[in-house]
Amino acid sequence: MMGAVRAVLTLLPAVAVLYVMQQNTPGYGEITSPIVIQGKAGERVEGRDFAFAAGNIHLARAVKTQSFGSVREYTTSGVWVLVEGAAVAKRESLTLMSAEWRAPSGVRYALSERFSTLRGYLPTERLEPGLPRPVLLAFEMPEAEVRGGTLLVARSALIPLGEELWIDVGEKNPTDIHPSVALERGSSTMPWILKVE
Amino acid sequence: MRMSERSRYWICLLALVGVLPLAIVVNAWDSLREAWSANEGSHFVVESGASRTHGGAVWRLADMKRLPGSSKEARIVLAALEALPDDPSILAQTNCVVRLVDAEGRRWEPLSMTEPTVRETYPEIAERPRCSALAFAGSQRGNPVKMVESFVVPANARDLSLSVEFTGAGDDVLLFKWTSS
Repeated sequence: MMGAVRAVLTLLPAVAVLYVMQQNTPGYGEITSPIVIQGKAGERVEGRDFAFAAGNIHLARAVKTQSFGSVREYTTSGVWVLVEGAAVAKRESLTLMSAEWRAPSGVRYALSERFSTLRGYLPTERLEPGLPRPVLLAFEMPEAEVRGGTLLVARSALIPLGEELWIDVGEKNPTDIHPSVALERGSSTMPWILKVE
Repeated sequence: MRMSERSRYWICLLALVGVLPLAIVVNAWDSLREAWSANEGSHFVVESGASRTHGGAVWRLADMKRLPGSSKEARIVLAALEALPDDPSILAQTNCVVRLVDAEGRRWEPLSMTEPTVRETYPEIAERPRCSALAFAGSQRGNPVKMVESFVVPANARDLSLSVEFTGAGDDVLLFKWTSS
Protein backbone atom coordinates (compact mmCIF):
# COMPACT_ATOMS: atom_id res chain seq x y z
CA MET A 1 0.00 0.00 0.00
CA MET A 2 2.72 2.42 1.03
CA GLY A 3 4.71 1.52 -2.10
CA ALA A 4 1.78 2.44 -4.37
CA VAL A 5 1.28 5.78 -2.59
CA ARG A 6 4.99 6.53 -2.94
CA ALA A 7 4.89 5.70 -6.66
CA VAL A 8 1.91 8.01 -7.21
CA LEU A 9 3.60 10.80 -5.23
CA THR A 10 6.75 10.42 -7.38
CA LEU A 11 4.75 10.44 -10.59
CA LEU A 12 2.67 13.52 -9.78
CA PRO A 13 5.53 16.08 -10.00
CA ALA A 14 6.72 14.43 -13.23
CA VAL A 15 3.22 14.74 -14.74
CA ALA A 16 3.03 18.36 -13.58
CA VAL A 17 6.41 19.17 -15.16
CA LEU A 18 5.41 17.49 -18.44
CA TYR A 19 2.09 19.37 -18.47
CA VAL A 20 3.84 22.74 -17.98
CA MET A 21 6.35 21.88 -20.73
CA GLN A 22 3.56 20.84 -23.09
CA GLN A 23 1.64 24.06 -22.45
CA ASN A 24 4.73 26.19 -23.05
CA THR A 25 6.04 24.42 -26.14
CA PRO A 26 6.27 27.05 -28.89
CA GLY A 27 4.44 26.30 -32.14
CA TYR A 28 6.19 25.96 -35.50
CA GLY A 29 5.33 29.57 -36.34
CA GLU A 30 7.00 30.82 -33.16
CA ILE A 31 10.09 28.60 -33.57
CA THR A 32 10.66 29.80 -37.13
CA SER A 33 9.55 33.41 -36.62
CA PRO A 34 11.97 36.13 -37.77
CA ILE A 35 14.90 37.09 -35.56
CA VAL A 36 14.23 40.65 -34.44
CA ILE A 37 16.98 43.28 -34.57
CA GLN A 38 16.00 46.50 -32.78
CA GLY A 39 17.04 49.94 -33.95
CA LYS A 40 16.00 53.57 -34.20
CA ALA A 41 15.05 55.84 -37.09
CA GLY A 42 17.93 58.09 -38.17
CA GLU A 43 20.50 55.37 -37.38
CA ARG A 44 21.95 52.63 -39.55
CA VAL A 45 20.45 49.39 -38.25
CA GLU A 46 22.70 46.41 -38.99
CA GLY A 47 21.42 42.97 -39.88
CA ARG A 48 23.59 40.04 -40.95
CA ASP A 49 22.54 40.20 -44.62
CA PHE A 50 21.57 43.85 -44.98
CA ALA A 51 21.53 47.22 -43.24
CA PHE A 52 18.77 49.81 -43.34
CA ALA A 53 18.46 53.42 -42.24
CA ALA A 54 15.13 55.22 -42.07
CA GLY A 55 15.56 58.94 -42.74
CA ASN A 56 12.79 61.45 -43.42
CA ILE A 57 9.19 60.51 -42.72
CA HIS A 58 6.33 62.47 -44.30
CA LEU A 59 2.59 62.30 -43.70
CA ALA A 60 0.20 63.26 -46.49
CA ARG A 61 -3.48 63.08 -47.43
CA ALA A 62 -2.62 62.48 -51.09
CA VAL A 63 0.41 61.40 -53.13
CA LYS A 64 1.01 62.50 -56.72
CA THR A 65 3.28 60.64 -59.10
CA GLN A 66 4.34 61.33 -62.67
CA SER A 67 4.38 58.62 -65.29
CA PHE A 68 5.03 59.26 -69.00
CA GLY A 69 4.04 62.90 -68.61
CA SER A 70 0.72 62.25 -66.87
CA VAL A 71 0.12 62.96 -63.18
CA ARG A 72 -1.61 60.38 -61.01
CA GLU A 73 -3.08 61.24 -57.65
CA TYR A 74 -3.43 58.59 -54.95
CA THR A 75 -5.86 59.59 -52.23
CA THR A 76 -6.68 57.78 -49.02
CA SER A 77 -9.40 57.87 -46.38
CA GLY A 78 -6.63 57.67 -43.78
CA VAL A 79 -3.14 59.03 -44.15
CA TRP A 80 -0.08 58.20 -46.28
CA VAL A 81 3.14 57.56 -44.40
CA LEU A 82 6.15 57.98 -46.70
CA VAL A 83 9.54 56.86 -45.45
CA GLU A 84 12.74 57.90 -47.24
CA GLY A 85 15.61 55.62 -46.30
CA ALA A 86 18.72 53.86 -47.52
CA ALA A 87 19.49 50.15 -47.67
CA VAL A 88 22.53 48.07 -48.49
CA ALA A 89 23.17 44.36 -48.94
CA LYS A 90 26.14 43.01 -47.02
CA ARG A 91 26.93 39.49 -48.27
CA GLU A 92 24.99 38.86 -51.49
CA SER A 93 22.71 40.68 -53.94
CA LEU A 94 19.17 40.78 -52.58
CA THR A 95 15.84 42.56 -52.69
CA LEU A 96 13.95 43.55 -49.55
CA MET A 97 10.45 42.27 -50.27
CA SER A 98 8.80 42.83 -46.90
CA ALA A 99 8.10 46.03 -44.98
CA GLU A 100 5.38 46.69 -42.45
CA TRP A 101 4.30 49.50 -40.16
CA ARG A 102 3.47 48.14 -36.72
CA ALA A 103 1.10 50.44 -34.88
CA PRO A 104 1.18 50.59 -31.05
CA SER A 105 -2.11 48.65 -31.08
CA GLY A 106 -0.19 45.73 -32.61
CA VAL A 107 -1.90 46.04 -35.99
CA ARG A 108 0.53 45.69 -38.89
CA TYR A 109 0.11 47.65 -42.12
CA ALA A 110 1.83 46.13 -45.16
CA LEU A 111 3.77 48.22 -47.66
CA SER A 112 1.35 49.76 -50.16
CA GLU A 113 1.31 48.09 -53.57
CA ARG A 114 -0.01 51.22 -55.27
CA PHE A 115 3.52 52.48 -55.99
CA SER A 116 5.02 49.18 -57.08
CA THR A 117 6.23 50.64 -60.39
CA LEU A 118 7.90 53.67 -58.84
CA ARG A 119 11.70 53.77 -59.18
CA GLY A 120 13.38 53.49 -55.80
CA TYR A 121 10.37 51.78 -54.20
CA LEU A 122 11.76 49.20 -51.75
CA PRO A 123 10.66 45.91 -53.41
CA THR A 124 11.77 47.13 -56.86
CA GLU A 125 15.36 47.92 -55.87
CA ARG A 126 17.93 45.17 -56.09
CA LEU A 127 20.59 45.83 -53.50
CA GLU A 128 24.20 45.01 -54.24
CA PRO A 129 26.78 44.28 -51.52
CA GLY A 130 28.71 47.42 -50.59
CA LEU A 131 26.55 49.83 -52.61
CA PRO A 132 23.92 51.66 -50.49
CA ARG A 133 20.75 52.63 -52.39
CA PRO A 134 18.10 55.20 -51.49
CA VAL A 135 14.74 53.48 -51.01
CA LEU A 136 11.20 54.71 -50.58
CA LEU A 137 8.41 53.10 -48.58
CA ALA A 138 4.71 54.05 -48.47
CA PHE A 139 2.05 52.89 -46.04
CA GLU A 140 -1.65 53.70 -45.90
CA MET A 141 -3.32 53.67 -42.47
CA PRO A 142 -5.77 55.42 -40.15
CA GLU A 143 -4.34 58.61 -38.69
CA ALA A 144 -4.53 57.25 -35.11
CA GLU A 145 -2.12 54.40 -35.96
CA VAL A 146 0.80 56.63 -36.98
CA ARG A 147 2.06 57.89 -33.61
CA GLY A 148 4.43 55.49 -31.83
CA GLY A 149 4.74 53.16 -34.82
CA THR A 150 7.58 50.76 -35.58
CA LEU A 151 8.92 50.08 -39.06
CA LEU A 152 9.59 46.39 -39.76
CA VAL A 153 11.90 45.57 -42.68
CA ALA A 154 12.81 42.04 -43.81
CA ARG A 155 14.17 40.25 -46.85
CA SER A 156 10.95 38.24 -47.04
CA ALA A 157 8.08 37.57 -44.67
CA LEU A 158 8.26 33.88 -45.61
CA ILE A 159 11.88 32.91 -44.84
CA PRO A 160 11.99 30.86 -41.58
CA LEU A 161 14.37 32.37 -39.04
CA GLY A 162 15.12 35.29 -41.35
CA GLU A 163 16.12 38.58 -39.79
CA GLU A 164 13.67 41.44 -39.35
CA LEU A 165 14.72 44.96 -38.42
CA TRP A 166 12.38 46.67 -35.96
CA ILE A 167 13.00 50.38 -36.32
CA ASP A 168 11.48 52.58 -33.66
CA VAL A 169 10.30 55.71 -35.43
CA GLY A 170 9.92 57.57 -32.11
CA GLU A 171 11.04 61.19 -32.34
CA LYS A 172 11.34 61.08 -36.13
CA ASN A 173 7.56 60.73 -36.34
CA PRO A 174 6.16 63.94 -37.82
CA THR A 175 2.93 65.52 -36.62
CA ASP A 176 2.12 67.72 -39.65
CA ILE A 177 -0.01 66.10 -42.30
CA HIS A 178 0.57 67.67 -45.71
CA PRO A 179 -2.43 68.01 -48.03
CA SER A 180 -0.35 66.51 -50.85
CA VAL A 181 3.14 65.20 -51.61
CA ALA A 182 4.55 64.86 -55.14
CA LEU A 183 7.02 62.15 -56.11
CA GLU A 184 8.91 63.24 -59.21
CA ARG A 185 11.37 61.23 -61.25
CA GLY A 186 14.94 61.78 -60.09
CA SER A 187 18.39 60.67 -61.25
CA SER A 188 20.06 57.24 -61.24
CA THR A 189 21.67 57.99 -57.87
CA MET A 190 18.48 59.44 -56.30
CA PRO A 191 15.54 57.81 -58.12
CA TRP A 192 12.82 60.18 -56.83
CA ILE A 193 12.40 63.78 -55.71
CA LEU A 194 9.84 64.34 -52.96
CA LYS A 195 8.10 67.73 -53.00
CA VAL A 196 5.66 68.84 -50.33
CA GLU A 197 2.72 70.74 -51.81
CA MET B 1 19.04 -14.69 -12.64
CA ARG B 2 16.97 -11.75 -11.39
CA MET B 3 18.48 -8.29 -11.38
CA SER B 4 18.13 -6.26 -8.27
CA GLU B 5 16.13 -2.99 -8.39
CA ARG B 6 19.32 -1.01 -7.87
CA SER B 7 21.02 -2.66 -10.89
CA ARG B 8 17.99 -2.01 -13.11
CA TYR B 9 18.01 1.66 -12.03
CA TRP B 10 21.66 2.14 -12.96
CA ILE B 11 21.35 0.23 -16.26
CA CYS B 12 18.35 2.38 -17.27
CA LEU B 13 20.17 5.57 -16.28
CA LEU B 14 23.27 4.59 -18.28
CA ALA B 15 21.12 3.56 -21.26
CA LEU B 16 19.74 7.11 -21.38
CA VAL B 17 23.24 8.36 -22.27
CA GLY B 18 23.05 6.42 -25.53
CA VAL B 19 19.29 6.51 -26.14
CA LEU B 20 18.83 10.28 -25.84
CA PRO B 21 21.42 11.28 -28.52
CA LEU B 22 20.07 8.46 -30.70
CA ALA B 23 16.52 9.84 -30.36
CA ILE B 24 17.75 13.31 -31.36
CA VAL B 25 19.59 11.94 -34.42
CA VAL B 26 16.55 9.88 -35.51
CA ASN B 27 14.30 12.90 -35.09
CA ALA B 28 16.60 15.20 -37.05
CA TRP B 29 17.57 12.59 -39.68
CA ASP B 30 15.66 14.20 -42.56
CA SER B 31 17.13 17.65 -41.84
CA LEU B 32 20.66 16.22 -41.57
CA ARG B 33 20.30 14.36 -44.88
CA GLU B 34 19.03 17.56 -46.53
CA ALA B 35 22.01 19.53 -45.20
CA TRP B 36 24.46 16.90 -46.51
CA SER B 37 22.87 16.77 -49.94
CA ALA B 38 22.96 20.60 -50.16
CA ASN B 39 26.78 20.48 -49.93
CA GLU B 40 27.23 17.59 -52.33
CA GLY B 41 28.53 19.58 -55.34
CA SER B 42 32.26 20.11 -55.81
CA HIS B 43 34.17 23.37 -56.25
CA PHE B 44 36.92 23.56 -58.86
CA VAL B 45 39.24 26.56 -58.92
CA VAL B 46 40.34 27.53 -62.43
CA GLU B 47 43.39 29.78 -62.44
CA SER B 48 43.45 32.97 -64.52
CA GLY B 49 43.74 32.18 -68.25
CA ALA B 50 43.23 28.42 -67.75
CA SER B 51 40.27 26.34 -68.92
CA ARG B 52 38.40 23.32 -67.56
CA THR B 53 36.28 20.62 -69.13
CA HIS B 54 32.86 20.32 -67.54
CA GLY B 55 29.31 19.39 -68.56
CA GLY B 56 30.13 18.64 -72.20
CA ALA B 57 32.31 21.69 -72.89
CA VAL B 58 35.69 23.29 -72.21
CA TRP B 59 35.05 26.43 -70.15
CA ARG B 60 37.20 29.55 -70.09
CA LEU B 61 36.89 33.03 -68.67
CA ALA B 62 37.99 34.95 -71.77
CA ASP B 63 37.99 38.47 -70.31
CA MET B 64 36.93 40.56 -67.37
CA LYS B 65 36.68 44.32 -67.74
CA ARG B 66 35.92 47.14 -65.33
CA LEU B 67 33.84 50.06 -66.59
CA PRO B 68 32.62 53.24 -64.87
CA GLY B 69 29.34 52.80 -63.02
CA SER B 70 26.34 55.09 -62.56
CA SER B 71 27.97 56.67 -59.49
CA LYS B 72 31.47 57.44 -58.23
CA GLU B 73 31.32 54.46 -55.85
CA ALA B 74 30.08 51.90 -58.42
CA ARG B 75 31.83 50.00 -61.20
CA ILE B 76 30.46 47.72 -63.87
CA VAL B 77 32.28 44.44 -64.31
CA LEU B 78 31.88 42.74 -67.67
CA ALA B 79 32.74 39.03 -67.73
CA ALA B 80 33.15 37.30 -71.10
CA LEU B 81 32.76 33.53 -70.75
CA GLU B 82 33.37 30.90 -73.43
CA ALA B 83 32.31 27.27 -73.66
CA LEU B 84 33.83 25.13 -76.41
CA PRO B 85 31.35 22.25 -76.91
CA ASP B 86 32.89 18.81 -76.56
CA ASP B 87 29.63 16.90 -76.30
CA PRO B 88 26.72 19.18 -77.39
CA SER B 89 24.09 16.68 -76.17
CA ILE B 90 25.36 16.99 -72.57
CA LEU B 91 25.88 20.75 -72.89
CA ALA B 92 22.26 21.20 -74.08
CA GLN B 93 21.06 19.80 -70.72
CA THR B 94 23.33 22.10 -68.72
CA ASN B 95 22.16 25.23 -66.99
CA CYS B 96 24.39 27.69 -65.23
CA VAL B 97 24.08 30.22 -62.43
CA VAL B 98 26.77 32.89 -62.52
CA ARG B 99 27.95 35.07 -59.64
CA LEU B 100 30.87 37.38 -59.00
CA VAL B 101 32.75 36.72 -55.75
CA ASP B 102 35.34 38.92 -54.05
CA ALA B 103 38.10 38.19 -51.52
CA GLU B 104 35.69 38.86 -48.63
CA GLY B 105 33.23 36.26 -49.94
CA ARG B 106 30.63 38.84 -51.03
CA ARG B 107 28.51 37.60 -53.96
CA TRP B 108 26.99 39.72 -56.73
CA GLU B 109 24.23 38.45 -59.00
CA PRO B 110 24.47 39.41 -62.70
CA LEU B 111 22.34 42.23 -64.09
CA SER B 112 19.29 41.16 -66.07
CA MET B 113 19.63 44.17 -68.42
CA THR B 114 22.90 45.31 -69.96
CA GLU B 115 23.89 48.77 -68.76
CA PRO B 116 23.92 51.54 -71.43
CA THR B 117 27.67 52.10 -70.81
CA VAL B 118 28.37 48.51 -71.86
CA ARG B 119 26.28 48.79 -75.03
CA GLU B 120 28.08 52.01 -75.98
CA THR B 121 31.62 50.84 -75.15
CA TYR B 122 31.52 47.20 -76.20
CA PRO B 123 28.47 46.73 -78.45
CA GLU B 124 29.74 43.44 -79.90
CA ILE B 125 30.17 41.93 -76.41
CA ALA B 126 26.87 43.34 -75.11
CA GLU B 127 24.95 41.44 -77.79
CA ARG B 128 26.19 38.05 -76.62
CA PRO B 129 23.76 35.79 -74.73
CA ARG B 130 23.90 35.28 -71.00
CA CYS B 131 24.97 31.97 -69.48
CA SER B 132 21.84 29.79 -69.63
CA ALA B 133 20.45 26.70 -71.34
CA LEU B 134 19.20 29.00 -74.15
CA ALA B 135 22.78 29.90 -75.07
CA PHE B 136 23.63 26.21 -75.59
CA ALA B 137 20.63 25.35 -77.77
CA GLY B 138 21.88 24.34 -81.21
CA SER B 139 25.54 24.43 -80.17
CA GLN B 140 27.96 22.41 -82.31
CA ARG B 141 31.15 20.63 -81.49
CA GLY B 142 34.13 22.91 -82.07
CA ASN B 143 32.09 26.17 -82.29
CA PRO B 144 32.64 28.18 -79.09
CA VAL B 145 29.57 29.57 -77.33
CA LYS B 146 30.48 33.12 -76.33
CA MET B 147 28.55 34.54 -73.40
CA VAL B 148 28.62 37.71 -71.32
CA GLU B 149 27.50 38.67 -67.83
CA SER B 150 27.60 42.12 -66.27
CA PHE B 151 27.65 43.10 -62.60
CA VAL B 152 27.53 46.27 -60.53
CA VAL B 153 30.13 46.23 -57.75
CA PRO B 154 31.64 48.83 -55.39
CA ALA B 155 34.80 50.51 -56.69
CA ASN B 156 36.80 49.01 -53.80
CA ALA B 157 35.88 45.37 -54.60
CA ARG B 158 39.11 43.45 -55.19
CA ASP B 159 40.29 39.95 -56.17
CA LEU B 160 37.13 39.20 -58.11
CA SER B 161 36.41 35.67 -59.31
CA LEU B 162 33.59 34.40 -61.50
CA SER B 163 31.63 31.54 -59.98
CA VAL B 164 29.72 29.35 -62.45
CA GLU B 165 27.36 26.85 -60.83
CA PHE B 166 26.05 24.05 -63.04
CA THR B 167 22.58 23.09 -61.94
CA GLY B 168 22.13 20.32 -64.49
CA ALA B 169 25.57 18.69 -64.16
CA GLY B 170 26.06 17.47 -60.60
CA ASP B 171 25.66 20.92 -58.98
CA ASP B 172 29.39 21.53 -59.41
CA VAL B 173 30.92 25.00 -59.27
CA LEU B 174 33.79 26.34 -61.37
CA LEU B 175 35.52 29.33 -59.78
CA PHE B 176 37.40 31.30 -62.41
CA LYS B 177 40.17 33.45 -60.94
CA TRP B 178 41.10 36.68 -62.71
CA THR B 179 44.35 38.35 -61.74
CA SER B 180 43.84 41.63 -63.61
CA SER B 181 40.50 42.57 -61.93
